[in-house]
Amino acid sequence: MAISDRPGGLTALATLNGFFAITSVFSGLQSIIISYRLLAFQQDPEATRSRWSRGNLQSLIDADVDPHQLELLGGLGVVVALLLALSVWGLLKRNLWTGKWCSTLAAAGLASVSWMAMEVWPLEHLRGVGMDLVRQMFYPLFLLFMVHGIFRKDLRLR
Amino acid sequence: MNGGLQILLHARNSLSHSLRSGSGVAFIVLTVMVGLGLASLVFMPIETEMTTAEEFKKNAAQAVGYFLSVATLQPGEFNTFADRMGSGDLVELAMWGRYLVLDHPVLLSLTVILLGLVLPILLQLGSFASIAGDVQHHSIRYLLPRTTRASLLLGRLLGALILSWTVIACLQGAIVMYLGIVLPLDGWSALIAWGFQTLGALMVLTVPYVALGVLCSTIFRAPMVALMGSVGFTLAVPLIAFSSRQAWEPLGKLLYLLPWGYSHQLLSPDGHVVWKAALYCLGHGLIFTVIALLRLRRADL
Repeated sequence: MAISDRPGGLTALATLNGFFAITSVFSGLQSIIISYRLLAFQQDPEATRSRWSRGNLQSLIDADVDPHQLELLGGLGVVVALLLALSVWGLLKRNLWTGKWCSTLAAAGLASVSWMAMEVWPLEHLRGVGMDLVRQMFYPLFLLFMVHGIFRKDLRLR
Repeated sequence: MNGGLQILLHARNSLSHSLRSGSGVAFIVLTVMVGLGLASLVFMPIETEMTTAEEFKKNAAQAVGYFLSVATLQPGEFNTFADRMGSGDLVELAMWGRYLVLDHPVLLSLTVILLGLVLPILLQLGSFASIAGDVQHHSIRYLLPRTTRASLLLGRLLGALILSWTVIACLQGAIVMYLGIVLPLDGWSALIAWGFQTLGALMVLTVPYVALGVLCSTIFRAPMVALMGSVGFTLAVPLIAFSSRQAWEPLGKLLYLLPWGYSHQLLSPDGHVVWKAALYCLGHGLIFTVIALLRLRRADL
Protein backbone atom coordinates (compact mmCIF):
# COMPACT_ATOMS: atom_id res chain seq x y z
CA MET A 1 0.00 0.00 0.00
CA ALA A 2 1.36 3.43 -0.94
CA ILE A 3 2.22 5.79 1.89
CA SER A 4 -0.24 8.72 2.00
CA ASP A 5 1.31 12.16 1.54
CA ARG A 6 -1.69 13.84 3.17
CA PRO A 7 -0.51 16.23 5.91
CA GLY A 8 -1.34 15.02 9.41
CA GLY A 9 -3.07 18.33 10.10
CA LEU A 10 -5.70 17.62 7.44
CA THR A 11 -6.46 14.27 9.07
CA ALA A 12 -6.71 15.99 12.47
CA LEU A 13 -8.97 18.68 10.99
CA ALA A 14 -11.19 16.01 9.40
CA THR A 15 -11.45 14.24 12.77
CA LEU A 16 -12.39 17.49 14.50
CA ASN A 17 -14.98 18.24 11.79
CA GLY A 18 -16.43 14.77 12.39
CA PHE A 19 -16.63 15.47 16.11
CA PHE A 20 -18.34 18.82 15.55
CA ALA A 21 -20.72 17.22 13.01
CA ILE A 22 -21.88 14.77 15.69
CA THR A 23 -22.39 17.51 18.30
CA SER A 24 -24.11 19.74 15.75
CA VAL A 25 -26.55 17.05 14.61
CA PHE A 26 -27.49 16.25 18.21
CA SER A 27 -28.08 19.88 19.18
CA GLY A 28 -29.99 20.45 15.91
CA LEU A 29 -32.26 17.47 16.49
CA GLN A 30 -32.76 18.58 20.09
CA SER A 31 -33.95 22.02 18.90
CA ILE A 32 -36.32 20.43 16.36
CA ILE A 33 -37.80 18.07 18.97
CA ILE A 34 -38.27 20.94 21.43
CA SER A 35 -39.95 23.05 18.73
CA TYR A 36 -42.47 20.26 17.97
CA ARG A 37 -43.15 19.71 21.65
CA LEU A 38 -43.62 23.44 22.10
CA LEU A 39 -46.13 23.55 19.23
CA ALA A 40 -48.02 20.59 20.67
CA PHE A 41 -48.01 22.22 24.11
CA GLN A 42 -49.36 25.47 22.69
CA GLN A 43 -52.23 23.59 21.04
CA ASP A 44 -53.09 21.36 24.01
CA PRO A 45 -51.20 21.92 27.29
CA GLU A 46 -52.84 18.87 28.90
CA ALA A 47 -51.29 16.55 26.28
CA THR A 48 -47.90 16.97 27.95
CA ARG A 49 -48.06 14.57 30.87
CA SER A 50 -44.80 15.24 32.73
CA ARG A 51 -45.12 18.16 35.13
CA TRP A 52 -41.42 18.94 34.78
CA SER A 53 -41.71 19.12 30.96
CA ARG A 54 -44.81 21.29 31.27
CA GLY A 55 -42.91 23.71 33.50
CA ASN A 56 -40.02 23.85 31.06
CA LEU A 57 -42.25 24.41 28.03
CA GLN A 58 -44.29 27.04 29.88
CA SER A 59 -41.07 28.90 30.76
CA LEU A 60 -40.14 28.92 27.05
CA ILE A 61 -43.57 30.29 26.12
CA ASP A 62 -43.30 32.93 28.87
CA ALA A 63 -39.94 33.95 27.39
CA ASP A 64 -41.59 34.40 23.95
CA VAL A 65 -39.61 31.64 22.26
CA ASP A 66 -40.93 31.14 18.74
CA PRO A 67 -41.18 27.39 17.91
CA HIS A 68 -40.74 28.11 14.19
CA GLN A 69 -37.49 29.95 14.82
CA LEU A 70 -36.39 27.06 17.01
CA GLU A 71 -37.23 24.66 14.19
CA LEU A 72 -35.20 26.80 11.79
CA LEU A 73 -32.27 26.78 14.22
CA GLY A 74 -32.47 22.98 14.48
CA GLY A 75 -32.71 22.63 10.70
CA LEU A 76 -29.66 24.85 10.24
CA GLY A 77 -27.80 22.74 12.81
CA VAL A 78 -28.59 19.57 10.85
CA VAL A 79 -27.50 21.20 7.55
CA VAL A 80 -24.23 22.32 9.19
CA ALA A 81 -23.73 18.77 10.47
CA LEU A 82 -24.21 17.44 6.92
CA LEU A 83 -21.73 19.98 5.53
CA LEU A 84 -19.22 19.04 8.21
CA ALA A 85 -19.70 15.34 7.45
CA LEU A 86 -19.14 16.02 3.74
CA SER A 87 -16.05 18.08 4.54
CA VAL A 88 -14.60 15.12 6.49
CA TRP A 89 -14.60 13.09 3.30
CA GLY A 90 -13.33 16.06 1.28
CA LEU A 91 -10.46 16.81 3.64
CA LEU A 92 -9.39 13.17 3.72
CA LYS A 93 -9.50 13.05 -0.10
CA ARG A 94 -7.96 16.55 -0.35
CA ASN A 95 -10.77 17.65 -2.64
CA LEU A 96 -11.26 21.35 -3.39
CA TRP A 97 -15.06 21.45 -3.39
CA THR A 98 -16.00 19.04 -0.65
CA GLY A 99 -12.88 19.75 1.38
CA LYS A 100 -12.35 23.48 1.14
CA TRP A 101 -15.76 24.88 0.29
CA CYS A 102 -17.87 22.54 2.43
CA SER A 103 -15.56 23.42 5.35
CA THR A 104 -16.00 27.12 4.56
CA LEU A 105 -19.80 26.83 4.42
CA ALA A 106 -19.82 24.69 7.55
CA ALA A 107 -17.67 27.26 9.40
CA ALA A 108 -20.07 30.05 8.35
CA GLY A 109 -22.97 27.81 9.40
CA LEU A 110 -21.45 27.03 12.80
CA ALA A 111 -20.96 30.75 13.49
CA SER A 112 -24.53 31.47 12.30
CA VAL A 113 -25.97 28.76 14.55
CA SER A 114 -24.18 30.28 17.56
CA TRP A 115 -25.42 33.77 16.63
CA MET A 116 -28.99 32.54 15.96
CA ALA A 117 -29.03 30.66 19.26
CA MET A 118 -28.42 33.97 21.04
CA GLU A 119 -31.41 35.47 19.23
CA VAL A 120 -33.79 32.52 19.63
CA TRP A 121 -33.13 31.22 23.16
CA PRO A 122 -34.27 33.35 26.11
CA LEU A 123 -31.63 35.21 28.11
CA GLU A 124 -32.10 32.91 31.13
CA HIS A 125 -30.95 29.95 29.03
CA LEU A 126 -27.93 31.82 27.71
CA ARG A 127 -26.77 33.27 31.01
CA GLY A 128 -23.50 31.66 31.97
CA VAL A 129 -22.71 30.33 28.52
CA GLY A 130 -21.01 33.48 27.23
CA MET A 131 -17.54 31.95 27.25
CA ASP A 132 -18.97 28.80 25.65
CA LEU A 133 -20.21 30.97 22.79
CA VAL A 134 -16.69 32.39 22.41
CA ARG A 135 -15.46 28.79 22.34
CA GLN A 136 -18.02 27.93 19.68
CA MET A 137 -16.85 30.90 17.60
CA PHE A 138 -13.20 29.82 17.87
CA TYR A 139 -13.51 26.61 15.87
CA PRO A 140 -15.15 28.17 12.76
CA LEU A 141 -12.45 30.86 12.66
CA PHE A 142 -9.71 28.28 13.12
CA LEU A 143 -11.22 26.07 10.39
CA LEU A 144 -11.34 29.01 7.95
CA PHE A 145 -7.72 29.94 8.79
CA MET A 146 -6.58 26.36 8.18
CA VAL A 147 -8.40 25.60 4.91
CA HIS A 148 -7.80 29.02 3.34
CA GLY A 149 -4.33 29.63 4.76
CA ILE A 150 -2.27 26.66 5.84
CA PHE A 151 -3.81 23.98 3.57
CA ARG A 152 -4.77 26.18 0.60
CA LYS A 153 -2.32 24.39 -1.70
CA ASP A 154 -3.23 20.90 -0.46
CA LEU A 155 -6.90 21.11 -1.39
CA ARG A 156 -7.17 20.94 -5.18
CA LEU A 157 -9.58 19.86 -7.94
CA ARG A 158 -9.34 16.09 -8.22
CA MET B 1 25.74 29.48 7.03
CA ASN B 2 25.70 31.45 10.27
CA GLY B 3 24.57 29.31 13.25
CA GLY B 4 22.04 31.87 14.46
CA LEU B 5 20.48 32.14 11.03
CA GLN B 6 20.25 28.36 10.80
CA ILE B 7 18.45 28.23 14.14
CA LEU B 8 15.96 30.84 12.94
CA LEU B 9 15.39 28.93 9.70
CA HIS B 10 14.78 25.70 11.61
CA ALA B 11 12.41 27.57 13.94
CA ARG B 12 10.43 28.92 10.98
CA ASN B 13 10.25 25.52 9.29
CA SER B 14 9.32 23.85 12.56
CA LEU B 15 6.56 26.42 13.10
CA SER B 16 5.02 25.93 9.64
CA HIS B 17 5.41 22.14 9.95
CA SER B 18 3.70 22.21 13.36
CA LEU B 19 0.67 23.95 11.86
CA ARG B 20 0.47 21.29 9.13
CA SER B 21 0.96 18.35 11.48
CA GLY B 22 -1.78 16.55 13.36
CA SER B 23 -0.09 17.13 16.71
CA GLY B 24 0.11 20.89 16.07
CA VAL B 25 -3.58 21.15 15.16
CA ALA B 26 -4.52 19.02 18.18
CA PHE B 27 -2.31 21.19 20.43
CA ILE B 28 -3.85 24.47 19.25
CA VAL B 29 -7.47 23.29 19.38
CA LEU B 30 -7.11 21.48 22.72
CA THR B 31 -5.21 24.32 24.41
CA VAL B 32 -7.71 26.97 23.31
CA MET B 33 -10.75 24.80 24.06
CA VAL B 34 -9.47 23.75 27.50
CA GLY B 35 -8.34 27.31 28.30
CA LEU B 36 -11.69 28.82 27.35
CA GLY B 37 -13.46 25.97 29.19
CA LEU B 38 -11.54 26.76 32.38
CA ALA B 39 -12.32 30.45 31.99
CA SER B 40 -15.99 29.58 31.50
CA LEU B 41 -15.89 27.51 34.69
CA VAL B 42 -14.42 30.44 36.64
CA PHE B 43 -16.85 33.01 35.22
CA MET B 44 -19.98 30.83 35.57
CA PRO B 45 -20.94 31.68 39.20
CA ILE B 46 -21.00 35.40 38.38
CA GLU B 47 -22.52 35.02 34.91
CA THR B 48 -25.36 32.83 36.20
CA GLU B 49 -25.82 35.24 39.12
CA MET B 50 -25.37 32.37 41.58
CA THR B 51 -23.30 34.76 43.65
CA THR B 52 -22.49 38.45 43.80
CA ALA B 53 -19.07 39.80 42.86
CA GLU B 54 -18.30 40.63 46.52
CA GLU B 55 -19.28 37.19 47.75
CA PHE B 56 -17.33 35.59 44.92
CA LYS B 57 -14.20 37.55 45.85
CA LYS B 58 -14.54 36.47 49.47
CA ASN B 59 -14.86 32.79 48.51
CA ALA B 60 -12.11 33.13 45.92
CA ALA B 61 -9.80 34.60 48.56
CA GLN B 62 -10.34 31.48 50.69
CA ALA B 63 -9.77 29.16 47.72
CA VAL B 64 -6.61 30.99 46.64
CA GLY B 65 -5.35 31.03 50.24
CA TYR B 66 -5.88 27.27 50.46
CA PHE B 67 -4.14 26.71 47.11
CA LEU B 68 -1.18 28.84 48.17
CA SER B 69 -0.90 27.14 51.55
CA VAL B 70 -0.85 23.71 49.87
CA ALA B 71 1.69 24.90 47.33
CA THR B 72 4.02 26.70 49.73
CA LEU B 73 3.76 25.24 53.22
CA GLN B 74 5.53 21.96 53.70
CA PRO B 75 3.81 19.83 56.39
CA GLY B 76 6.09 18.99 59.26
CA GLU B 77 7.98 22.26 59.18
CA PHE B 78 5.74 23.54 61.97
CA ASN B 79 4.29 21.51 64.81
CA THR B 80 1.23 23.64 65.48
CA PHE B 81 -0.90 26.21 63.76
CA ALA B 82 0.41 28.79 66.25
CA ASP B 83 3.95 28.03 65.13
CA ARG B 84 2.95 28.75 61.57
CA MET B 85 1.27 31.99 62.60
CA GLY B 86 4.37 32.90 64.55
CA SER B 87 6.61 32.35 61.58
CA GLY B 88 4.68 34.98 59.63
CA ASP B 89 4.06 32.62 56.74
CA LEU B 90 0.28 32.76 57.00
CA VAL B 91 0.29 36.55 57.13
CA GLU B 92 2.39 36.56 53.99
CA LEU B 93 -0.01 34.11 52.32
CA ALA B 94 -3.00 36.24 53.27
CA MET B 95 -1.27 39.26 51.69
CA TRP B 96 -0.56 37.19 48.60
CA GLY B 97 -4.19 36.02 48.35
CA ARG B 98 -5.35 39.61 48.79
CA TYR B 99 -2.96 40.72 46.02
CA LEU B 100 -4.41 38.15 43.60
CA VAL B 101 -8.07 38.47 44.51
CA LEU B 102 -8.66 42.03 45.69
CA ASP B 103 -5.85 44.14 44.24
CA HIS B 104 -6.12 42.62 40.74
CA PRO B 105 -8.99 41.33 38.54
CA VAL B 106 -10.03 38.22 40.46
CA LEU B 107 -11.49 36.33 37.47
CA LEU B 108 -8.29 36.73 35.49
CA SER B 109 -6.14 35.68 38.48
CA LEU B 110 -8.19 32.52 39.03
CA THR B 111 -8.13 31.63 35.33
CA VAL B 112 -4.35 32.06 35.18
CA ILE B 113 -3.86 29.91 38.31
CA LEU B 114 -5.92 27.13 36.70
CA LEU B 115 -4.06 27.55 33.39
CA GLY B 116 -0.77 27.22 35.28
CA LEU B 117 -1.93 23.80 36.50
CA VAL B 118 -3.19 22.54 33.12
CA LEU B 119 -0.72 24.07 30.64
CA PRO B 120 2.28 21.90 31.69
CA ILE B 121 0.39 18.86 30.36
CA LEU B 122 -1.03 20.53 27.24
CA LEU B 123 2.31 22.05 26.26
CA GLN B 124 3.78 18.59 25.72
CA LEU B 125 1.43 18.19 22.73
CA GLY B 126 3.17 21.02 20.93
CA SER B 127 6.73 19.77 21.37
CA PHE B 128 6.76 15.98 21.63
CA ALA B 129 7.32 15.39 17.90
CA SER B 130 9.99 18.04 17.30
CA ILE B 131 12.87 15.55 16.98
CA ALA B 132 11.25 12.12 17.39
CA GLY B 133 9.01 12.67 14.34
CA ASP B 134 12.02 13.02 12.02
CA VAL B 135 13.94 10.24 13.75
CA GLN B 136 11.05 7.82 13.31
CA HIS B 137 10.72 8.56 9.59
CA HIS B 138 14.54 8.69 9.13
CA SER B 139 14.14 12.12 7.47
CA ILE B 140 16.65 13.51 9.98
CA ARG B 141 19.39 11.80 7.94
CA TYR B 142 18.65 14.13 5.02
CA LEU B 143 18.74 17.20 7.24
CA LEU B 144 21.96 16.56 9.12
CA PRO B 145 24.45 16.82 6.22
CA ARG B 146 23.33 20.44 5.77
CA THR B 147 23.09 21.56 9.39
CA THR B 148 24.46 20.84 12.85
CA ARG B 149 22.59 18.81 15.42
CA ALA B 150 22.75 21.71 17.88
CA SER B 151 21.17 24.20 15.40
CA LEU B 152 18.46 21.69 14.54
CA LEU B 153 17.54 21.11 18.17
CA LEU B 154 17.68 24.76 19.18
CA GLY B 155 15.67 25.77 16.09
CA ARG B 156 12.99 23.17 16.81
CA LEU B 157 12.88 24.27 20.45
CA LEU B 158 12.49 27.91 19.42
CA GLY B 159 9.75 26.97 16.92
CA ALA B 160 7.83 25.02 19.60
CA LEU B 161 8.23 27.93 22.04
CA ILE B 162 6.97 30.50 19.52
CA LEU B 163 3.95 28.32 18.70
CA SER B 164 3.14 27.86 22.40
CA TRP B 165 3.60 31.57 23.18
CA THR B 166 1.36 32.55 20.26
CA VAL B 167 -1.42 30.18 21.33
CA ILE B 168 -1.21 31.32 24.97
CA ALA B 169 -1.17 35.01 23.95
CA CYS B 170 -4.28 34.53 21.77
CA LEU B 171 -6.03 32.65 24.57
CA GLN B 172 -5.16 35.30 27.15
CA GLY B 173 -6.20 38.05 24.71
CA ALA B 174 -9.62 36.41 24.20
CA ILE B 175 -10.13 36.07 27.97
CA VAL B 176 -9.13 39.69 28.69
CA MET B 177 -11.36 40.99 25.86
CA TYR B 178 -14.29 38.93 27.14
CA LEU B 179 -13.79 40.15 30.71
CA GLY B 180 -13.53 43.76 29.54
CA ILE B 181 -16.63 43.64 27.35
CA VAL B 182 -19.00 41.15 29.00
CA LEU B 183 -18.01 41.09 32.70
CA PRO B 184 -16.60 44.54 33.45
CA LEU B 185 -15.95 44.06 37.18
CA ASP B 186 -12.61 45.86 36.81
CA GLY B 187 -11.55 48.66 34.51
CA TRP B 188 -9.78 48.11 31.18
CA SER B 189 -6.50 49.55 32.48
CA ALA B 190 -6.35 47.10 35.41
CA LEU B 191 -7.32 44.22 33.14
CA ILE B 192 -4.74 45.03 30.47
CA ALA B 193 -1.91 45.62 32.96
CA TRP B 194 -2.65 42.40 34.87
CA GLY B 195 -3.24 40.59 31.58
CA PHE B 196 0.28 41.45 30.37
CA GLN B 197 1.83 40.56 33.73
CA THR B 198 0.12 37.15 33.91
CA LEU B 199 0.86 36.53 30.23
CA GLY B 200 4.55 37.07 31.02
CA ALA B 201 4.28 34.58 33.88
CA LEU B 202 2.63 31.97 31.63
CA MET B 203 5.23 32.55 28.90
CA VAL B 204 8.10 32.00 31.34
CA LEU B 205 6.35 28.90 32.69
CA THR B 206 6.16 27.59 29.12
CA VAL B 207 9.97 27.42 28.71
CA PRO B 208 10.83 24.46 31.00
CA TYR B 209 7.85 22.36 29.93
CA VAL B 210 8.47 22.85 26.20
CA ALA B 211 12.16 22.06 26.81
CA LEU B 212 11.06 18.90 28.64
CA GLY B 213 8.95 17.90 25.63
CA VAL B 214 11.94 18.42 23.33
CA LEU B 215 14.18 16.46 25.72
CA CYS B 216 11.77 13.50 25.69
CA SER B 217 11.63 13.84 21.91
CA THR B 218 15.40 13.30 21.74
CA ILE B 219 15.37 10.42 24.23
CA PHE B 220 12.61 8.37 22.59
CA ARG B 221 12.56 7.49 18.90
CA ALA B 222 8.78 7.10 18.58
CA PRO B 223 6.77 10.37 18.95
CA MET B 224 3.92 8.70 20.85
CA VAL B 225 6.36 7.22 23.37
CA ALA B 226 7.95 10.67 23.71
CA LEU B 227 4.50 12.17 24.38
CA MET B 228 3.68 9.53 26.96
CA GLY B 229 7.09 9.99 28.57
CA SER B 230 6.82 13.77 28.86
CA VAL B 231 3.18 13.81 30.02
CA GLY B 232 3.86 10.90 32.39
CA PHE B 233 6.88 12.67 33.91
CA THR B 234 4.97 15.96 34.25
CA LEU B 235 2.13 14.22 36.09
CA ALA B 236 4.23 11.73 38.05
CA VAL B 237 6.52 14.32 39.68
CA PRO B 238 3.84 16.07 41.80
CA LEU B 239 1.95 12.81 42.47
CA ILE B 240 5.05 10.98 43.70
CA ALA B 241 6.35 14.00 45.61
CA PHE B 242 3.06 14.61 47.47
CA SER B 243 2.46 10.94 48.27
CA SER B 244 6.03 10.07 49.28
CA ARG B 245 6.34 13.24 51.38
CA GLN B 246 3.94 11.63 53.85
CA ALA B 247 6.37 8.72 54.27
CA TRP B 248 9.62 10.64 54.33
CA GLU B 249 9.76 14.43 54.37
CA PRO B 250 12.85 14.97 52.13
CA LEU B 251 11.15 13.08 49.28
CA GLY B 252 8.83 16.08 48.97
CA LYS B 253 11.77 17.89 47.37
CA LEU B 254 11.18 15.71 44.29
CA LEU B 255 8.62 18.35 43.38
CA TYR B 256 11.54 20.56 42.33
CA LEU B 257 12.48 18.20 39.50
CA LEU B 258 9.99 20.33 37.56
CA PRO B 259 8.82 23.92 38.25
CA TRP B 260 5.75 22.61 40.15
CA GLY B 261 7.36 23.56 43.47
CA TYR B 262 7.86 27.25 42.71
CA SER B 263 5.87 28.16 39.58
CA HIS B 264 3.07 29.79 41.66
CA GLN B 265 5.67 32.34 42.82
CA LEU B 266 5.52 33.84 39.32
CA LEU B 267 2.33 35.53 40.60
CA SER B 268 3.85 36.73 43.88
CA PRO B 269 3.32 40.35 45.01
CA ASP B 270 7.07 40.61 45.68
CA GLY B 271 8.86 41.55 42.46
CA HIS B 272 12.12 40.05 43.72
CA VAL B 273 10.43 36.67 44.25
CA VAL B 274 8.88 36.84 40.77
CA TRP B 275 12.28 37.46 39.15
CA LYS B 276 13.80 34.60 41.16
CA ALA B 277 11.00 32.22 40.09
CA ALA B 278 11.38 33.34 36.46
CA LEU B 279 15.15 32.69 36.62
CA TYR B 280 14.54 29.24 38.13
CA CYS B 281 12.08 28.46 35.30
CA LEU B 282 14.59 29.57 32.67
CA GLY B 283 17.31 27.60 34.48
CA HIS B 284 15.14 24.50 34.42
CA GLY B 285 14.59 25.04 30.70
CA LEU B 286 18.33 25.48 30.16
CA ILE B 287 19.15 22.25 32.02
CA PHE B 288 16.63 20.27 29.93
CA THR B 289 17.97 21.84 26.73
CA VAL B 290 21.60 21.02 27.61
CA ILE B 291 20.68 17.40 28.40
CA ALA B 292 18.74 17.20 25.11
CA LEU B 293 21.75 18.63 23.23
CA LEU B 294 24.14 16.12 24.82
CA ARG B 295 21.72 13.29 24.09
CA LEU B 296 21.21 14.32 20.44
CA ARG B 297 24.95 14.79 19.83
CA ARG B 298 25.64 11.21 20.87
CA ALA B 299 22.53 9.63 19.35
CA ASP B 300 22.97 7.06 16.59
CA LEU B 301 20.65 8.43 13.94
